[in-house]
Amino acid sequence: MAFFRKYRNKKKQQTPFQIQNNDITKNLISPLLLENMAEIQKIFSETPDLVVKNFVIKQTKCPAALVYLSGITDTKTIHNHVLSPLLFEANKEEKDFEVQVSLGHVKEKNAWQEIESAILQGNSVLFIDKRIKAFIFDTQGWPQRGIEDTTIESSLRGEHIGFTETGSNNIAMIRRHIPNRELKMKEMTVGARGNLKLTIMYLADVANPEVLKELVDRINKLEVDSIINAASLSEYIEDNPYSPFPQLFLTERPDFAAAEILQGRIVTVVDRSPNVLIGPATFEIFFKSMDDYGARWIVASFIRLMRYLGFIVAIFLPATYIAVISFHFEIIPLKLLLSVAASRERVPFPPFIEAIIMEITLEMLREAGIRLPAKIGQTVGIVGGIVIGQAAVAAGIVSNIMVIVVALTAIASFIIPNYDMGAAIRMLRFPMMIAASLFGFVGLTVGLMTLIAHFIALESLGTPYGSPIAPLRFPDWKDLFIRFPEWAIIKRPESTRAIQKKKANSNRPKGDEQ
Amino acid sequence: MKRWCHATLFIFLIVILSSCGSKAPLEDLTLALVIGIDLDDENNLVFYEINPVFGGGAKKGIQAYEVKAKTIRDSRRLFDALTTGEVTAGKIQVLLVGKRVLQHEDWFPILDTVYRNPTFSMSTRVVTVNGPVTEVISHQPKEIPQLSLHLKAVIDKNYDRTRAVKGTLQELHREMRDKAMTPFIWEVKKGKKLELTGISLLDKKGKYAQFLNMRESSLLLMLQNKKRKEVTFTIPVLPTGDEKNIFHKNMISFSESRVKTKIKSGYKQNKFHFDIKVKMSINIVERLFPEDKLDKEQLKKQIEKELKKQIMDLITKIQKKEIDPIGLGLYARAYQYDHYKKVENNWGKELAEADVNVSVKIDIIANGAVIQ
Amino acid sequence: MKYTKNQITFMQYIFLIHGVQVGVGLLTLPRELAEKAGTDGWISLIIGWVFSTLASLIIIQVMKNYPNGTIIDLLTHYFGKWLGKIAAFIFVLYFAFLGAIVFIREGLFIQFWILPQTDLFILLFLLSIPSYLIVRNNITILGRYAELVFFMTTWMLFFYFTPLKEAHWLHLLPIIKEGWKPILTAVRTTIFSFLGFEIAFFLYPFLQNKQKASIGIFIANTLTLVLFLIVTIVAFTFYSPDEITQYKEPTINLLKIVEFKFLERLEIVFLSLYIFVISTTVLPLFFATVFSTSQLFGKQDHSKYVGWLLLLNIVYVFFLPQTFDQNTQFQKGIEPISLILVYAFPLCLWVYLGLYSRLKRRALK
Repeated sequence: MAFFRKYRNKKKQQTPFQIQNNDITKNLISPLLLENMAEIQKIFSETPDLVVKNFVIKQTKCPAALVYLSGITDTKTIHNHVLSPLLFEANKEEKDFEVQVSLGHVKEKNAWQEIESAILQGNSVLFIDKRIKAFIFDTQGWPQRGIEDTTIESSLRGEHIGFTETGSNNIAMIRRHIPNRELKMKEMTVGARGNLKLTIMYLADVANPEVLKELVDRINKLEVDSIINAASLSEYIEDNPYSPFPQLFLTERPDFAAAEILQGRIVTVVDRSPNVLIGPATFEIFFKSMDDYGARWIVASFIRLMRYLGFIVAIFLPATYIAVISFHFEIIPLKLLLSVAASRERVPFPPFIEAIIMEITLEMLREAGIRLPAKIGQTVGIVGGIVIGQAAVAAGIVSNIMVIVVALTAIASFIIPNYDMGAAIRMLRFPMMIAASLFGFVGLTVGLMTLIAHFIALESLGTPYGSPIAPLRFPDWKDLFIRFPEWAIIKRPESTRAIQKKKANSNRPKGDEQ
Repeated sequence: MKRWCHATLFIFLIVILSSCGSKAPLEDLTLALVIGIDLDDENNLVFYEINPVFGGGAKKGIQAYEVKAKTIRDSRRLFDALTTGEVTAGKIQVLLVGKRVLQHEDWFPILDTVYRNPTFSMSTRVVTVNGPVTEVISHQPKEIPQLSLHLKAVIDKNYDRTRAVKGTLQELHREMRDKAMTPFIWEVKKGKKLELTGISLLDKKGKYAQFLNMRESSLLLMLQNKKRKEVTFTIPVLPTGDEKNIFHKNMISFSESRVKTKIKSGYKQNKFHFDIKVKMSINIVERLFPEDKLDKEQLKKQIEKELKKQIMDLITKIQKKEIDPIGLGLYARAYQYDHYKKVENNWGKELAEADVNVSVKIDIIANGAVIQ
Repeated sequence: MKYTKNQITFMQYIFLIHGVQVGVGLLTLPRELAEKAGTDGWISLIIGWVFSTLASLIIIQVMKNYPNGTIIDLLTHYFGKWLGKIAAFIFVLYFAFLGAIVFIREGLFIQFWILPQTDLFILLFLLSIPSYLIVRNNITILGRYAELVFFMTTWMLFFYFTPLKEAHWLHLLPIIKEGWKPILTAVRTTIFSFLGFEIAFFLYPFLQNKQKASIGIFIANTLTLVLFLIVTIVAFTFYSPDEITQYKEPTINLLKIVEFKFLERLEIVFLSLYIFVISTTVLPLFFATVFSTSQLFGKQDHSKYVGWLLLLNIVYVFFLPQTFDQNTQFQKGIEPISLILVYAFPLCLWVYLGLYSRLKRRALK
């Protein structure tokens, strides 16, 4: 591992990349409108979507120019609230023109750099002749979709709205759940080209300041061109980049994000991405779903247990099959053994090859199903089902038992509510299968031990990832395998290192007291 | 980069090395399900093996082989020459031992490899065959499933009904090694059909000593406090009045819901004493004579008397052969350690001279659903 | 002070000590006891527990004199730098040998029972991968590992309830058959099976709540006793007293008869999982080795020694073929050293430190 560290260090020594900075950075605008317009044309050369509207302000009779990019501004706002007041309204009492602009968010700036970035972000800029400041109007508006139901993390009882690509909307959706003044936000910008706006949301009196500082530091250290979505941001800032496990939780559910903020976690809203990042993540939150809190606690606990069972099955079932068939057939009772042996009799491949063929076929089918349009996707399912279930067995390439094993594994990996964790599990079973095919149960055990060795040392934002299992924290087990009734969980989990522990008092009326 | 190369090379090496050592997968093995040991007429050891055959090519579901070899391990070499796959011992269900083998002392060491080798299963049932083993091995009727499954199922069923011991290799080992008791194993006989007849009692050296039928073995197990799910006795309680007792009008059947055997050991006048007290609660499940012939008290007395007689017969039988399948020696060791220790190596003889008192106490708790 | 960063909780402390105590020894323990004391061996276990508890309490008393350092820091503090170095050297050798013996024995068991066709050095290489990943970390990770493994493997004890159904309790009677002498000879065996609490020499400075150190080590010893007693008594009642000495590893043999409707031959499954239990012995021992090594050379980071230690083991096994007998010989060889290091050394040190502090107090007055 020392070796990896060296590798990483080497990377750091590379020269930080630079974006060509024009000489405009320090320049201020000129009082002459014509000069300014020339500068604008220089900056935005080959930009056909740039709109420059020259006109005369009715109030002051000054020549002026409104500059904006046509795609990412809201044309209606510009027409109704900027252009038409300036062009047509004249108020005799007021000398200045500003009253006529019926917008709340107006800034005065004189540095070209700020003006440039304002235009690029969808604001419109008004230059007026003989003025040394330009006016920036908040007229942002870009193509965006409406708020829809969540697609990946769908739920029965949870909220039916999902995050969209607009950061401010996403913040609003979270804030609606926590209208509290302690809900603080830190705004940061990342990416020299992308200028991506990140908003870190947390409860100031609950979230651990150390964790917050860690997160902010890591984001501050980023020197990148741009980040397209939240997932790639998490790849930049997570603790162990070589781990198969996701170390920050990506969600598209506002209710889940809000619930985690209330637990003491920190949410990073990434503008332009329909997901938010939740950290510090622990292993167990990947096994939670909002529906656990929508169902009766007994039902929810049962489903939780099934998920953990699914986790174990998905990683170890094919490997166990290989180990048993090729090493330890003694452990199967005779009757089952006879039927397994009978079904394997015609199979020409060793168990490992057989399993790999089936697993890879299955993975391909799954991937094909996701990317294809829904109508063709169904066909893939049918073809795959027939190929796997019928033809392969009939042709004697794989055994019946193997088909059952693969199908069970697939179902077990889909039961994990989080997509990233499900994918991680699907990847993990391949090394396990190799270990099992070489050393049987011993290989499996060593594989598991290696996994545990990695798991217990893994951290998310400096918080133990395995908590509350390793390190063991029994108070947190109330919401682990068994979900206790809500009124029984009166403390925040220790796993988040929240500084305010208690979150409720259990004043539930008992029995006939009502 | 150099380190990457080394790591890759090393892993590659490991993969190659380990692939040499891995075992053959299931389908390349020949699973021996039954192993038989017998002596032929010239007292040569003969070994038998039965294994299942899969696939459409084979007509019969199983194959049986017979070889002459020196030891069990040696026989594997010869079986390997005959079978398709490597013969493996991991799933042997039944071990058949011919009665001719049991008639010799010290046959037990030929089973050495079974205990020495970790691949053997310890829950293999050991069964002795009254007659040549080859008859049982070649007995493959269509109406019953494979011999191994069939034999094991029959044994397990009778075990559950407290008619027989499990008779595993593990138990045999214990009984052979423990100085305070003697071994007993299952006996089957091939008449027209394969039939479970009872248990064979062996002496300390493993030599065949006595045969017990099913009824007696039930009693034996009762004395050992090994009641399983159910135990039923059918005994006569009335003297056979009529000469033509076609319908056995003197019989009564009862099942025991609770049996408790208490054995006390003592040592007086250079002799061991055993007090065996059997206490049981019974349900009458069958009665072929009317109620007025015996009232409740009399019935109880009669049953007690009959049972006591049967137990005494059993014990006399045992004492005559100087064996101890009940394990009375365990009680002697636990409570009369000093005296026992002196005669430890000769326990059978000591037991033959011991006094054994038996008392039976029953309690009728149910009479069934009809009043007659 | 210098160890405040990596702390272990009370529970981790208990399970670390308990983990080191329970390992390969348990597999052969019932036979070793039966050979010496017959079915009275369980009494020897209790006596052994008394001794080991006393010794561990003394260790804690000693460590209290210098609560923020390991035994090596303590010796350096009281006797100077050179004695500290020598002690570190002795501890390195002791833990390295102890660890290597258990590590190799673990490999031998796997080879014999599960993978007879695989070379020993390949098995050890395989086991080295997770070992390396765990030991190179700090003590906190090791504590988490011990804790997790304890809860992951304790349920296996339920396997032993099936043989208990066929138990003959008469085997245990009469209690104290041959007098006390055989029982006392077997105490020697049990004392060695309780060894492992000397890891407290290195755990103490990392413990969060140092007031609980004594009670923690007591609980660890008692847990070990309970486990040993259960396994021993099951083996004694299941096997006849004349028979048990026939089996090399009765603890594994016991499981050969356990059958479920869906699973047979539990000993294979058990032994595969038992690798975890053995690893909680080996890994803390290796940790103590590399930790003392880093103290010996005055380095902060111990992780680079881990690879060398493991490599040394593999190379050793590769060039010198190992057998059970040879391994047992080594074990026998290290036993007297253990006795000195674990019983005599802390006792002397305790007496010395007691006198020292009293004299100092008197001098101050």
